[in-house]
Amino acid sequence: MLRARKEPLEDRSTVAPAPARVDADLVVHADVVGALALIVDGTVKGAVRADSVLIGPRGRIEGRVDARALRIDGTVLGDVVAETVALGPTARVVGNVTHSAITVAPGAEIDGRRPWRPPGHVARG
Amino acid sequence: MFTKTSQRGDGPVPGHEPVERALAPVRSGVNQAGSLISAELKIVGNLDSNGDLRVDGTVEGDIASRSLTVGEGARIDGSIAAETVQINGTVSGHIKGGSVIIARTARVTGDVTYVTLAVEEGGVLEGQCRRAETNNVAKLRAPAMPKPAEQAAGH
Repeated sequence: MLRARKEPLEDRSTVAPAPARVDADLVVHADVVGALALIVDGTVKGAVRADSVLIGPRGRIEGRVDARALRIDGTVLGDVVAETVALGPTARVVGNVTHSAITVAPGAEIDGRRPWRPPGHVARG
Repeated sequence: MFTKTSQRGDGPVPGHEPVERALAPVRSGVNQAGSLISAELKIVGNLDSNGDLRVDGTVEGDIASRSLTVGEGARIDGSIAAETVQINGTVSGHIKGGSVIIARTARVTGDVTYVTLAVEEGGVLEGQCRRAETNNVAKLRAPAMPKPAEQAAGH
């Protein structure tokens, strides 16, 4: 009744749980650490650590970001450490972007260094 | 296309999975509405939303939102202020809400200030219930909101 509607029949065992979301109207005054997948369209005033992270155009993180896979279309005020990083045209990073593989779209701003590390440099979990 | 890209290229790099494939699990949530603190997450600090928030994980801190749903396995240690509050999980702290629903799986320890209140059969509520004079959420959640001056200073 008040529960979430049942999903259509499918093999749920292989379906990942819903990603954590920080919506545009949410401000988190804390670290967001330990999510599997995380979408940030709002503001996080603290560090972020997750396996895969999407930072939307309106997303803003005021702290360090650690991820295995990361796409940034918003703003990060802090260092970024990730295995694979994609910066979209509206991305803005004030900090160093440590990566094993990086894609930078024209228009993206990185106010910091872009050090390369061999694959596997990001600790899991 | 011919402008600034990494020397390491933007194609698949041997030994790496392409970033978009790695991001596939997170893409599934892109079109969802509202915020979600998922079950594996623990937040130590405050959450402040003008929209809809669902907590399935753990929050040690205060929550202010327009609507808040606390999932069955969720745990909140802190105060809650929202227009509509649906509790299915465990809450320790003061709940201030316009419409408050304490579901049959809920365990609430703390006072409840409400305009309308429902406690389903089986729901546990240990605390005092007080009727609020106002349904004005700005007033209801005033204590959990950061001060405007503080917000401005943060930028």
